[in-house]
Amino acid sequence: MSTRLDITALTRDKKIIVCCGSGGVGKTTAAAAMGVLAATQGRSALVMTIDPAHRLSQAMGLDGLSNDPQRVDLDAPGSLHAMMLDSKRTFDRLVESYAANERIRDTIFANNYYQQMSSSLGGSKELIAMERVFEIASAQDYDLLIVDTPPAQRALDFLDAPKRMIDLLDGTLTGLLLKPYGLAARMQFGLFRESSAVTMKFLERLTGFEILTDLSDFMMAFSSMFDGFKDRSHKVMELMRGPGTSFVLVCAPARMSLGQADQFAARLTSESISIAGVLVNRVHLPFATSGDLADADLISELAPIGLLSDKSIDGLTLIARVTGAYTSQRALVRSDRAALKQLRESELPSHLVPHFNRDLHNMEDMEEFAAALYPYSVP
Amino acid sequence: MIVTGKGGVGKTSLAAALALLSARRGSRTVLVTFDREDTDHSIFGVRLKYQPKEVHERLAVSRVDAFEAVREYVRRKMPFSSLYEGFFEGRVFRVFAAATPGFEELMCLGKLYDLAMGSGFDRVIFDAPSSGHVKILLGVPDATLKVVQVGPLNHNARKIQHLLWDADKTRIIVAAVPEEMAIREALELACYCRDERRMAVGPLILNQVVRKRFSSAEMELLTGMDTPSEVLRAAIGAAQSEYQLASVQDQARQGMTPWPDVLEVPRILPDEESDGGSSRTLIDEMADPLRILFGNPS
Repeated sequence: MSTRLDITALTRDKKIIVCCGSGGVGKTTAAAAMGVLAATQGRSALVMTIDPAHRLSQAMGLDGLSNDPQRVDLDAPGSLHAMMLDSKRTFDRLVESYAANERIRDTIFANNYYQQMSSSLGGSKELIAMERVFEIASAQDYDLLIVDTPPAQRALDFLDAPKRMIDLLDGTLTGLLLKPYGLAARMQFGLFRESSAVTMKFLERLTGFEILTDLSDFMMAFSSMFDGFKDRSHKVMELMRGPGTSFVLVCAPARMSLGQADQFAARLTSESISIAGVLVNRVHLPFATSGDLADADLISELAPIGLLSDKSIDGLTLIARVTGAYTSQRALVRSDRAALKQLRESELPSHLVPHFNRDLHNMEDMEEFAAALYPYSVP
Repeated sequence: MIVTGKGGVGKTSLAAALALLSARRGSRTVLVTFDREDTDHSIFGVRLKYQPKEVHERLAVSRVDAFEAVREYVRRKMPFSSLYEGFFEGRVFRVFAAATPGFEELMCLGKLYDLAMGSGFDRVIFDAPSSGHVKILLGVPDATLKVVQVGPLNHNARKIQHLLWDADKTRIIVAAVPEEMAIREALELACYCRDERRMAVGPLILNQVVRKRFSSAEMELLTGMDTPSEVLRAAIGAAQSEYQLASVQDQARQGMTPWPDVLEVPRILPDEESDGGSSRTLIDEMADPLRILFGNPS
């Protein structure tokens, strides 16, 4: 049996809230609304978003968000700030701070491979988001940092992608590329039945070019700063595991979306990270608490509409239309309820936010969403 | 047919509906997804595997996988391929593939090429990743050609590129829902594919469209009604909320930069059995407005 997720307690007590979820579930809006909520509770909050709706940044009174936090105009006891993560610039900054000297820094910047990786390679965005979280959390300028994670096919990508990157940057490849035919590499892979020299030949033959030259140059330059980088990624994970951090999974009331929830929680638990619960967004809630009516009863209940009609309106048509709208609404409510059944069977706390029937794009909308984050009394 | 769009616009359902239509029109069709691991297809309910699996007359589903694709490629094209079998299990190879930008993408596109050009299927429908990733994906052959001048990788990238450019064979279908952001993202993506990637784009599919059911006079009348009946109040509430949604959608559509070819798919109401997901009946309903894409039945 699922319990209630109290978002207001998270925004009141936590230092970091990470909003995860697949694309199109309203994650960015939920993160912004949590920021509003925290500011209402008297805290200073920073919402870090990856790819915000243009109108969302406008709504926050910001002409497009920048890589550095900007204050949002909001009448609240606390304060709200927002920023958009520019992964390329953050990556560049990271290289700047860890490169041993200018020559190494410039070599990295000019490298073909680095250019592609820092802007497009899967995982770099997520890794960089984590890095920026660490940077901001360490500076302690805000009471609460709310992270809107990059859109991902699956919610777990936020955790998996940085791991893959670290794996890649780890000694395995570096060792292999720096001394591909050397003894060191062979010892490192002694357990495998492949020999790295043959592997390299094979890969070159498969790809038909010296794909490894760029990579090798990059690794050569990067290896000097890798320890700092890796050390930091461990610290980021520590931060994610800390008691001040909470993960919230944002879902749509759909079977596929909610089906991820348990898997997501299990995965977080295996990383010793705790998940606060699931925020189900855009739920169609019934307009009445009464049970379903048979169509005949419905029509008799709707009869007053027909009597009200003026000359320009055909009462019977109107009854039919209202019936149609009501039936549609009931179908949506029923379908959402069926999808939510999965959640009821799970142990995860949850909170439902109603479907607002419109784009949420200004500060008033965010406040309305924030209001919907308070615990409710109706089941 | 490459079906893409922002997350949450119903790509998977649209792709499934297109695939079903295509099969019913007599084309041997394969619906391909880009999931990273074995999962069940959300509509056809079968486990997605690299090998196409039949789910309906003339319709199979499968999943592209870079590693499987490379393995298959090596087996078929490289002399003494059995010598290399062990490598695919090795960490070195996996790390190499993950570390090489575009490698996985190119291998996946290569598999799509094979399915389209030489596997006994008449049509491939690709349930592609969402906007951001698909941009990277479609740019990979071109990027590869710039970096690699010779060899099998160059040769394959060129073949794939020509197939993507061939307007008679390949078409990108971008989906959106009638919300400002989704429409904007779809148009951006459509322009990118047309102008930068020089591909045939269209139509733009507007999914989950809700039309106004009431006139403004009717709405006014309903809003002014005061009634003790809970059911009636609930019904009026439902009418108002639907009307509001339709108005917001109208606005989003009007704000849309014109695109020559837009196809609207109405919001399909979930049926009893759908359980908060898309069922086969829903897919059938969705397929109806998409018929035009396959011309008249012969």
